[in-house]
Amino acid sequence: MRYLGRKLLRLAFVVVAVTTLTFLFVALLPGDIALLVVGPTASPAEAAAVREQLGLDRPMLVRYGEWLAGLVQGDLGVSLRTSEPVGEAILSRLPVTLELMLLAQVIAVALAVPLGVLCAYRQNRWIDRIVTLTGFAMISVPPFVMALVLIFTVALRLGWLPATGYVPLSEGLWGNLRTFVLPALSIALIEWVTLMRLLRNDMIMTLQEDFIAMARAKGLPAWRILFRHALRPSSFSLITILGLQIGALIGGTLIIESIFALPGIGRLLLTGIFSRDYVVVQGCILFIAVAYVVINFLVDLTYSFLDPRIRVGGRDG
Amino acid sequence: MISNAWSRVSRVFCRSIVGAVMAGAAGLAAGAAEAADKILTVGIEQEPTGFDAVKGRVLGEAPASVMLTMVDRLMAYDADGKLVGELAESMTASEDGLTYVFKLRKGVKFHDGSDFTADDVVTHFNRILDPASKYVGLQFISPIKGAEKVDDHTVRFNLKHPWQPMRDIMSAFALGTFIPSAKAVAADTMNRQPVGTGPYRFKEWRGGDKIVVERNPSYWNKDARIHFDQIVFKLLPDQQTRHAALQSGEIDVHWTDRGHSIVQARSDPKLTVYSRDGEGGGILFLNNSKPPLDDVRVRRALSMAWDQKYYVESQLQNTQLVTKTGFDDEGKCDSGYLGDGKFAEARKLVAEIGKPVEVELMHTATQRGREFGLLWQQLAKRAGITVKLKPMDQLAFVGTVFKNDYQMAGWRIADAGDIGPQLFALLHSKSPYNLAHYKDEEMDKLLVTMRMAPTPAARKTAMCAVVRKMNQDAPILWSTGRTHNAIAKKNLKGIRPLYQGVVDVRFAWFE
Repeated sequence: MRYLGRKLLRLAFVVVAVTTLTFLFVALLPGDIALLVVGPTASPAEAAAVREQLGLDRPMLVRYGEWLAGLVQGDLGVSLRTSEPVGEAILSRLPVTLELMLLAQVIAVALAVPLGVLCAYRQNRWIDRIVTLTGFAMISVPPFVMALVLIFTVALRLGWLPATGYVPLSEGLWGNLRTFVLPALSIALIEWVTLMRLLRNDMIMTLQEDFIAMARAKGLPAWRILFRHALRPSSFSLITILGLQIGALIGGTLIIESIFALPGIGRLLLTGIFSRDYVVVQGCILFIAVAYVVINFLVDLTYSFLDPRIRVGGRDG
Repeated sequence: MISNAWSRVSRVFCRSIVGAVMAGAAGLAAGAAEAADKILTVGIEQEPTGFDAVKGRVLGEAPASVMLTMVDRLMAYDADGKLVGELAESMTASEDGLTYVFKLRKGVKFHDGSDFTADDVVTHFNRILDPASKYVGLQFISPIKGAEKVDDHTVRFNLKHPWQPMRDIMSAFALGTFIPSAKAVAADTMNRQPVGTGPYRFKEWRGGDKIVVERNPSYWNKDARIHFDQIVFKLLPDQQTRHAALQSGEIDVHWTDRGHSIVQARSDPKLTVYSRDGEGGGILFLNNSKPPLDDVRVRRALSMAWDQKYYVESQLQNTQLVTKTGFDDEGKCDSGYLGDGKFAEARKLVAEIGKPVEVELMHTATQRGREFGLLWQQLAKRAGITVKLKPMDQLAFVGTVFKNDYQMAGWRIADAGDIGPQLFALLHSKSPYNLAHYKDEEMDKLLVTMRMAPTPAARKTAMCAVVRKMNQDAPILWSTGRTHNAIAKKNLKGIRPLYQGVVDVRFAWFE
């Protein structure tokens, strides 16, 4: 309970700090949403009138206070640009971002785990060197470049998968997955490298442990030793980084969502920033901050599952 | 023998299965193709801010394409360029030009089943004309005093003075000209769930993703052929993404202004480019309130240095019009245009001033903005003028112009059918929209003459005089004319001419 209490306190602190800073930064950006809303044919007087309508002429502290008061009541406000409730906007876009994140991580882990295990088992052999070299090459590529290369080759040249767009799950699993393959690969083909290297290094250490020597001496097959005995204790760094990556991806997908026209939270945030829709930006940042803290909390809980020797709160095992 | 018979039976069975699977697959594919033919997908660059005239505030070209499928106007231009009645059967102007009477169609129903009557028109227009509503386009329809109901299917508009644009304004693509259901407006649902009388009705708006409209089985125009069960407007803000989506078949048509895509599409046998020259264009404000631009010689020198033709050829790949007047003057207007790279004359003017001339050009921090700025620097240098560049984010750009904290800044005159109201707003000394801060009594008189012109011909003559003075005094320069372009799959037919740049897919079909 004390542990949970500490985590909740930390969460509250993060929320206040992050949202305050965000509010400040958006307020300091030049231009305001009233100019976007009135359009290019409006006069300065009309822009000023819209600014007043939207409450943008009030002091920053007043606006932030109102937003916080609304937040306490569960109301994230309404988009200044489209009048869409921000809470609904985030919830409707959440499945897209979640699916992209999860698929990307599944692909990254599916690549990282077998290759990490293989490289650890065949440390410094040719397979280890080739995989490492390939990984370093891939990690040097920015995600948006990877995305554009995939669009050009797979979508435009080969025509195997769509370049853009989103098909919800309700309209068919296959159609839905087709729209996520390229975006997920754009992320996964870079992220797997870090996971693979971490796992490889940890597994090299684990394979030197006495219990592994014992398993070998018992005549257990290599695959069993690697996957049943060595993988689990070697996974802590992998899990930690995976948790951090997932947390980072919640907001980090915005470039990929923009390129592939996926209606996720990242794209909502990006549109909010470009249009100075501070209500939307606040809502998205709040959501991302809370999600990040929660995911890391879940990562902490996963440790005790992986290793029964670890107990939360300092009790003996 | 038994094994031979068995293997024969097996072979026949296997062939039957394969045949059935193939037939099934062919049937599925044919069904999928047929289903695909019933859905049109349009790539749009901008999501609507809303469909209510007051709450939505502004309708760009892309959102207008969406609005057009669901909500009708009183008048419209048909496929042959003729102004015809849409929700109005006829439009009659009084002799003094102060009243316009519209006879409305009978038997028209809104998508919610309610009848379309004069009350809907009157309620709508009086709402947007009421200053308390703060309708953003009010200044452009300010000569209209109000609308009144004559009977259930007749509406009279009263004007403050004779006003030729009234003929065109009811066909414009502005939120104020689309006639919504008064019930939906009163219930405050029009903005996100529009209700109109159009050939399609609203189905779904997934924010940030798409808007879906479905066929309206009770559409009033029984002669119109509605070919699609659904039209999906997919939001794809990035132009390259939109074009890639068209090339890969995910969308069927999109609007674009990128020369590279248009030129590439023209040589692509699977695509068709639709183009239409419009009115208005890109302009450049020369801030008359900031030295040295308060000196007409500096403004004229800059005007002479600008080579619009070169700009359109080199940076826009000849996909935009070159204009000297901004409107279709049928070749009859002596525009007084000073441009086209008259560097020697420009240098003479600069020499008259007797001191170095340096100005700052504000441009958007985009590739197109940067290229525009660099070109200006080079051309002005040949005229002996130093141009410093100031790149800026789009929203900050607009704010800076509104605060009068600039010297030269790009802007645009939208293609609204008749650019007279915009010229008036930009050039009249008392207009709040005179962002170039130009004050000239003679120009004010010319603008009033243009506004009050009794006939279309008189109006064009007066507009020519306004534009000639503008070109000579150079508070505003024409940087480029306006050509609208849309690219579609070759087999998509029935797209109407791109009036005011709006892609009208209501009556399109797949061949």
